[in-house]
Amino acid sequence: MKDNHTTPQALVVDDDPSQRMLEAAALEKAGFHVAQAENGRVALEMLVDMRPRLILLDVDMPEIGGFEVCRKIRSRPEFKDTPIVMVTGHEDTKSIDKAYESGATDFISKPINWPLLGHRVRYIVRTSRISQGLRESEARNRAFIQAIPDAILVIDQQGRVVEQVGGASKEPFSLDDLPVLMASTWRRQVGYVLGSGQVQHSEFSRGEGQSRNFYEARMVPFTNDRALMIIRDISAQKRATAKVYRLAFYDTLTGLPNRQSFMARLSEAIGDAEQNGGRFSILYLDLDNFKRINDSLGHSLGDELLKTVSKRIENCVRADDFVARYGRSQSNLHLARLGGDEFTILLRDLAEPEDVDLIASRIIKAVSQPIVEGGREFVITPSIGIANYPDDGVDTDTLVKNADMAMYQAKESGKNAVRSFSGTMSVRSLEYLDLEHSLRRAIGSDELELHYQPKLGLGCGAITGFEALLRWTHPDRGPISPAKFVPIAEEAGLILDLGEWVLHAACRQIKAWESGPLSGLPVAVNLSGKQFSHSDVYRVVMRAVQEHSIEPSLLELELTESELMRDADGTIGTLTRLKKAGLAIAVDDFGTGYSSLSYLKKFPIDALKIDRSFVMELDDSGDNISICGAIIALAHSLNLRVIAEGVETTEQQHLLTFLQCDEMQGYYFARPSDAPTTARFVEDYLAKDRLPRVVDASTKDIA
Amino acid sequence: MAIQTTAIDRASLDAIRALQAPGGDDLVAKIVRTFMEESARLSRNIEQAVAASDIEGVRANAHSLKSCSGNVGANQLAVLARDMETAARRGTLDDADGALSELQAELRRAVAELEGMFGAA
Repeated sequence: MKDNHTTPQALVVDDDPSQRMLEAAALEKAGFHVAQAENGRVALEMLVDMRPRLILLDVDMPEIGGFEVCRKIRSRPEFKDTPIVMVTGHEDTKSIDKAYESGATDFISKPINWPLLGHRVRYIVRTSRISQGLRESEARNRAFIQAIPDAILVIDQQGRVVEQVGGASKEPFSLDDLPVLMASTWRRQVGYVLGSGQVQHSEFSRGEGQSRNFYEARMVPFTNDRALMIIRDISAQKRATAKVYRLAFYDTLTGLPNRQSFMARLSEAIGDAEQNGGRFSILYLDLDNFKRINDSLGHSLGDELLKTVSKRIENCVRADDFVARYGRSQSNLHLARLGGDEFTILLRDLAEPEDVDLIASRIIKAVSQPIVEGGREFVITPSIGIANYPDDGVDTDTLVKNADMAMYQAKESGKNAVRSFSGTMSVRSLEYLDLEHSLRRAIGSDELELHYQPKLGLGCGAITGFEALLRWTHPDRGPISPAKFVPIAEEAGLILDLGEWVLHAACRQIKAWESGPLSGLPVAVNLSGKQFSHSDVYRVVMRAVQEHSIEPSLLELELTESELMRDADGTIGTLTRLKKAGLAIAVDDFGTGYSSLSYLKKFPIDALKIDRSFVMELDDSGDNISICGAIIALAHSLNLRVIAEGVETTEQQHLLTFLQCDEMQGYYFARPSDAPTTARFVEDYLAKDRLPRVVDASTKDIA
Repeated sequence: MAIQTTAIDRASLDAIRALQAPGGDDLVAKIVRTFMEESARLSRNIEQAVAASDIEGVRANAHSLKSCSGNVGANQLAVLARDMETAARRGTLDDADGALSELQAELRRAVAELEGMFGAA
């Protein structure tokens, strides 16, 4: 059996014993182990177990003829490729044709040249093995080609597709228009490929937008005048690459370029500017108090707001006039989201230096418009810092840091309707945010109102004027204490608007009372420290006075001691101008802060108001009597009137009168009330006491 | 008809001798012995087939005789056997007796010549 593997086995089929013997001898000499069958039936039986490498088959045999035996052997799959050589005595072409038709590999005619037979069959076996190998190899190649998703084309020297070898069924496009697309490129490539034998790569695409497909084509030499072209659909790969790029350089929430993208553009801008000169600016934008929205309302709502805001900023940046000047490309006008609520804009090759301010103010205006989200209205204001290359920095870090710092300064200044920013901002409640939004809407509506609390001259018993106090009645929640909403207004950047509203309301009231029994009685309004430090108080106050054409002396301004002292030098100037314009000025909450006496002397003030904390405990504290006495003495020494606040008992009034305090204010005499009620109170008071009306506010003269 | 001085072509026997495997049975002797047995048998078969007018019997046995006589170089015998086969294939047994006696005479001549070379079987 082992020999079966080492030497080829042959089967000789012939009814002639001498013929069989000779054939066997010839084949054995050629290296075959030989089995013999005396007829076709025996041969077919033997082939059930036997797998010869060669069958020598006589044509003319009794029982079953050679042709039929050949067909029967060939029909069995295991002998599909076994060489069968038919031995024929008939040399006519008819029997030779018949041999081939029966599946014979070759034929030998009698008489046989015995010494040559061995060579002949060895050749036949070898050829058969080669052609079998070729068939297997072709089958393998066919399988490969079918497995490859690429289109495989044969290209002629004119760059035309002359044949498609494989991949047709998988090809998503018709090959008909490929030559049109690529003919000129391929024509060039074919020449090079055939000349050099080198592989050529190229890429092309078809279609537009979403349905655009990308292809990679490789061309290799095929024959003398043909090249093989392998075309692969690389659309998925291209899309994946683009996605990775987008993830790396774009912000997924807003679709804007991200920090990496911005820093790359900035480096690029610096590199260009270093080489070619030129200036550019970066704007650093941060949303005021945005963290609070996220913390109290959740990130999903915060994200929605961010999307809206980023769309608004983008619209400003993409405004037609800017696009006209800077082009649609992002290299000159690059907006990015750095993360969180921070955005940057890179503005290169500035056409006009004012463009930076223009775009900043547009953004502030656009972003500050109310946003309705989740059934709630939000107003989000941005603060913007600007840094210019090369004045504010020549490297990325410095420029960004300086723009960031400028942004913080913008926040602190509270200018241009930008909110102030508190670094110690704590997590606020939803109620807080609601109040903030409600308050914003309330300014200018009838929810806000001034109440007036009369002041009583202690010496003469006459009403000497009023302090105007702001009241807010929320449509749903009812009255809300100023102690609650004023700090919100300050943090939300609403205090300037609120202060201005109060000034106008007070002036309007003064004007209204001008012709009645309350004419000539001054009204005091409280100014916040923010109004002094962040706006042109003088202009704002005088505008209110002039708009309502009132006597300036009828408007008194109250400023707390601590606010007065915060920027004493700056405040003196403003107060002096106001004083010269005829307004009276009082220091509120006196005694609670730290006052420099030398400054106090310099301030152009008319009155001090003793803080209610001293007055309230005036009954049982000897200390407070001393303090009040000292304040009153000090005020008088500086030629100032003294007004006591928060007077609630007869005893307090008597003590203050004793201490020669000039005026008092408090529940004991009158609660604050709206304008009509105040007017009735005054009329009743005048009628009841029948005391002479004191129209001169300078009651200190009386005291 | 070609005139042949000998019934057996020695070159055919030499060709067989060339197939002799070293140390194996004497191939020529084996083939000659087989020829002696087979040719006698086939000759008898033909004779009976002719007598019985069995055309297929004549054809098949003549064919076999042609084959085995060719192998030992009995070329003239092979020609006669082929003629008889061809005639039978055509379906005619005319002059079959004459052809048979001519074939048997040539067979005897070939056997005698081979016996001269190898001794009686």
